[in-house]
Amino acid sequence: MSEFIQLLLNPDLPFLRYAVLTGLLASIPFGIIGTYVVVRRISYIAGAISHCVLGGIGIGIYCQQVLGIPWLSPIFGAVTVAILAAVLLTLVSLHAKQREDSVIGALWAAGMAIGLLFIAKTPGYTDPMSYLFGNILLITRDDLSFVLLLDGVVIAIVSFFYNSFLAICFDEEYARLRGIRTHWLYLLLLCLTALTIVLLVRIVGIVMVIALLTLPAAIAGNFARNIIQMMLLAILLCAGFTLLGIGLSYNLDLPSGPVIILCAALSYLLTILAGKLLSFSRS
Amino acid sequence: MTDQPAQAAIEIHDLCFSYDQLPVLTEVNLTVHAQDTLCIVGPNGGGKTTLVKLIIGSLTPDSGRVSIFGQAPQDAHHRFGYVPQHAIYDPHFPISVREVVCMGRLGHPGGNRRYSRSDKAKAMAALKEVDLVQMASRPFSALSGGQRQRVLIARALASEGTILILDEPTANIDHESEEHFYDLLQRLKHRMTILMVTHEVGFASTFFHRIACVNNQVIIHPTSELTGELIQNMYGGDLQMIRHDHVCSEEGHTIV
Repeated sequence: MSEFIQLLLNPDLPFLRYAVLTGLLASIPFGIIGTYVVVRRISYIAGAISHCVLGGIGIGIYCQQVLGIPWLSPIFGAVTVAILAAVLLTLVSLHAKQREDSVIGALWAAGMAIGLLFIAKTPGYTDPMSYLFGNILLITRDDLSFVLLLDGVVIAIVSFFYNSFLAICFDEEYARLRGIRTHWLYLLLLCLTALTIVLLVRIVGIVMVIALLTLPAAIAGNFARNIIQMMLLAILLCAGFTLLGIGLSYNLDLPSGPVIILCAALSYLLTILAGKLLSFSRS
Repeated sequence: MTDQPAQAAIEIHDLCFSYDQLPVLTEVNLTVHAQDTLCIVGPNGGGKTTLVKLIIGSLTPDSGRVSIFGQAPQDAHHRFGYVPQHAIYDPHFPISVREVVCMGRLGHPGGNRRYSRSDKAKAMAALKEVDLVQMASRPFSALSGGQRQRVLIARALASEGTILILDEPTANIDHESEEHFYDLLQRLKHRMTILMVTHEVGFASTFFHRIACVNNQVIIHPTSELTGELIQNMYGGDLQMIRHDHVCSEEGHTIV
């Protein structure tokens, strides 16, 4: 591990430093938003948003390379599509209660299909693998500033709306009865989720986003007594999994995304087993 | 009926409501005055909870209107202290009893951002009223069903609404909590308008002034008319035997 720390300090290897820094800073929105996704039980919705993101990335790549629109970058496309998906999913939850899961499934697959078609029609070789499974080692300085911005936005909005968010997660009907504009808050929560997911996609990729968003929060939920504790613990866990994952993947020469996810999944499994054993030994 | 003698607490006029063309409530007329007590009974699927949701404005009627002290329900949030069934909550949600009760302070000036000292004091006073002050820091999930119900009542009291609406508060709670609950209701009766959805007709007959039988239509009886015959018609048998398949048909109710 000391070798890894030396590598981090090596001025010739900036990408490793960016990767580790991004992983640590990104843990803040992941832990906070992940907690809401878990307690509000919208991980399936988060999954749909993340898969839609590929549509935005595909459109961005095509517009930049084929149509020559420089400002329409993949990241711009990803953010736009993620926010659109959040708006659409909010409308669906309002107006199509019984059919919500079908619409989520359709959006999930259609977003991916659009992305793959645009990538296929872009000349030259674009590897969809890095979008699907992520590669934290490809992170640049720009990504780092995007993460810092997101940290600020998420912390500011969540601390401002803390009581209202807690109320709509715990008991939406009662929150509405207290005069809270629950639909707007739900939309805001989904938009924050969407932005966080776009960021996550850079690190672990579209397919594994849900795991890194929800597993730290789900583990934290077993120990936390309130939402703030759950968020803090989720942030720490997420940072730990990312660091451990990058370290292991470097030492074992493995792709970073899957190693990070497996660290998180294994810890989740161990927490569940330990909890079962504990309640078994008590009885 | 002190300051607004003319205005009813709840007034429902020719209300109809249906879910996807399936009529649930038809031509409902109902007036509840301030400090009145009304018990809502009827078969499952008869529209009891729908009626409650229409009153609090969670649902909008297809036709007809609901007014709360002369206002639309959506503009009268602050009038309600609403107590939903405790079983609807996620048992693993990480939240303390105090945080749940503080939600009653949402919608008051400033309460959506930070709870003020007076908000917190009101929440604690409400917890005291339901005798659970010592539980304030406990996780909501660690409480028994009966205690959770009382926490939800405390939340309704903290909101300072004068119309207390309870949806099957005695379902799934132990006997001791149930007695505690009835004592509490007796105390609240003098300062609040109380509406309660229940299956416990026995208690209803001694506590409530009136009883509303909801099965697509709503028919109101003073509880003094609650004779054995009416109960038999309502529940198709012995009082102790609570059946959910009875029919509150119009023929049944005309026998009174």
